[in-house]
Amino acid sequence: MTDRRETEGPFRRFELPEELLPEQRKAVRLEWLTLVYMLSAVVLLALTLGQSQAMKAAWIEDLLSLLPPAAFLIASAMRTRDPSAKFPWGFHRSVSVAYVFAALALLVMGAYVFFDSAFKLVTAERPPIGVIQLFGEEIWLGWVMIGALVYSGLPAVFLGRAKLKLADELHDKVLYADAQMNKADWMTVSAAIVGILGIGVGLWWADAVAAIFISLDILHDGWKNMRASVHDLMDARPRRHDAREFHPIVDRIEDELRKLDWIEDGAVRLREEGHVFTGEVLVVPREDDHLVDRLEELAHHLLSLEWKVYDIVVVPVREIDIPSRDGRPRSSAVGEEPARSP
Amino acid sequence: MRAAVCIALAVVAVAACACRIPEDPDGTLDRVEGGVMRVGITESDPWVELEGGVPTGGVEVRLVRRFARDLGARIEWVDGSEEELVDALKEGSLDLVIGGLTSKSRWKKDAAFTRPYVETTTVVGVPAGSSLPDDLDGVTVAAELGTEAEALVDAKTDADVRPVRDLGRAHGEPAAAHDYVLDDLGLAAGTELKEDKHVMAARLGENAFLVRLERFLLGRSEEIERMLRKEGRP
Repeated sequence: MTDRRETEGPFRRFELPEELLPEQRKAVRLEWLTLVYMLSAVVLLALTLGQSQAMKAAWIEDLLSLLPPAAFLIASAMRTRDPSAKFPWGFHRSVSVAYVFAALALLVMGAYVFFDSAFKLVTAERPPIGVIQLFGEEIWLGWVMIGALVYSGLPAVFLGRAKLKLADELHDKVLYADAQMNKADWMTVSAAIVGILGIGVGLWWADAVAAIFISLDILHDGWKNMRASVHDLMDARPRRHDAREFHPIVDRIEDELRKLDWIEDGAVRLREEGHVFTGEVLVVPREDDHLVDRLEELAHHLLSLEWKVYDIVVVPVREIDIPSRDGRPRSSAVGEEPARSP
Repeated sequence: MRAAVCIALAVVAVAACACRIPEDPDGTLDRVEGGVMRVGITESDPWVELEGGVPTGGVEVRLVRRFARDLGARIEWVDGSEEELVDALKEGSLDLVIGGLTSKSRWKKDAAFTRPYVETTTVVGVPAGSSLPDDLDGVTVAAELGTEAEALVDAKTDADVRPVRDLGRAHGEPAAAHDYVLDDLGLAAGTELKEDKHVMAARLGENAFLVRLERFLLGRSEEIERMLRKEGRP
């Protein structure tokens, strides 16, 4: 008793409603731009890297910030693929897979930079920064590093803002995480600049301390995203794309169920599959008349509530055995053995 | 935005203040200027030549002498093995270590290397005007016994290696040698075996001293190469 919104062809090709397609295309363009620009920043930082810890940390963060755009672009290409015999649920989850990888990379690199810098601080290893010859002039490499950092950080902030707006409209988690990372890039850049200035005035420890701050930021990002991505894989109750609160759709569907008088009791269970939600609605019908028609009509109606709800199965049951959303066990509506139909 | 302004102000403030950028955490440059520069040396012909622990010549010895004159410093030479010297440098008992170090040295993490100030190559020198096969198949190439060059000729070419005690005696025949002795051996550069980027080692983090030394070394490459050809004469 599954239902799908009418579209051409056997499957819904697009996850997104028509009116959001231009936004999606814009997001893809922005992510390509981010990818190319970050790549140039990574190359530039690598050329000026030297032996500064803070610089290394900033470089690693830039390197990692290539991952979310790449994940977004790969997932954008994969998510609309048709289901196949091998992947009967389609490819929506490619987004979740990309998300897990990106989050894990953040976490591991954050930990690496943290321990590396802490070790250098404890063993009092002093970063040497010499001169570089540029256009026949000998310049202290520190100045060149600061220039490279500004190049890598400043435009990222504006890209981040633009993407944040799109992420809100598209309800896109990967895009949101990426935008947050770009927007926070100025913190990394400032910390690294302070570290290099510290070396400049002879405070050798400033560099390692700045690197530790940056690593804490990376770790925090990594932890937050790892948690969210594991929750997705565990089919946790859907949250808004910015994870601030539960997605209101579950409440809304339950309200809709309550409005129908042929339904004695009803429950909703939704999971996130990448960008979209799928799940079941269990209903305990009062009577069996026209049950199939009613179920079908209900499924149509529920799918029309919100574009993120992609696939819903409405199942008639005698008793509801999934926990209610406030976590209390449900008082059974009918005093029979819990037997699921159909 | 406010944070960006703060950072910009900090950069400007640091750049504009009277203090020197970069500064030494331990004040090496200030101490050495008009004072004593403690230089670790280890024998490495033609970079550092020693007799009884006293430097008699070598490219790096001459460069350091000139650098000391620039700083108005008196030099205190300390001879030892590379490891002894690098350990002492790391702890701050020495200010500078020389001895034919290259950018590939394993002491990279324990010392602040200058930018490479000269590059040398090890090549198979061939008699000028001779036409030998590119892979040197069947050619006998002289190489100094027990040197890296001896093994490199064997590994990188098909030549037969003839180990010799002294390259100077193998005048005029194909030989594996540093590029700066080719003229004296009457050879022209053939197959390249290895490239070395030469550096000096300062103490980690003493960036004012490091930068001063690098500025001294950079832009002197022609002079250094001339010196090298003279000092390297077999």
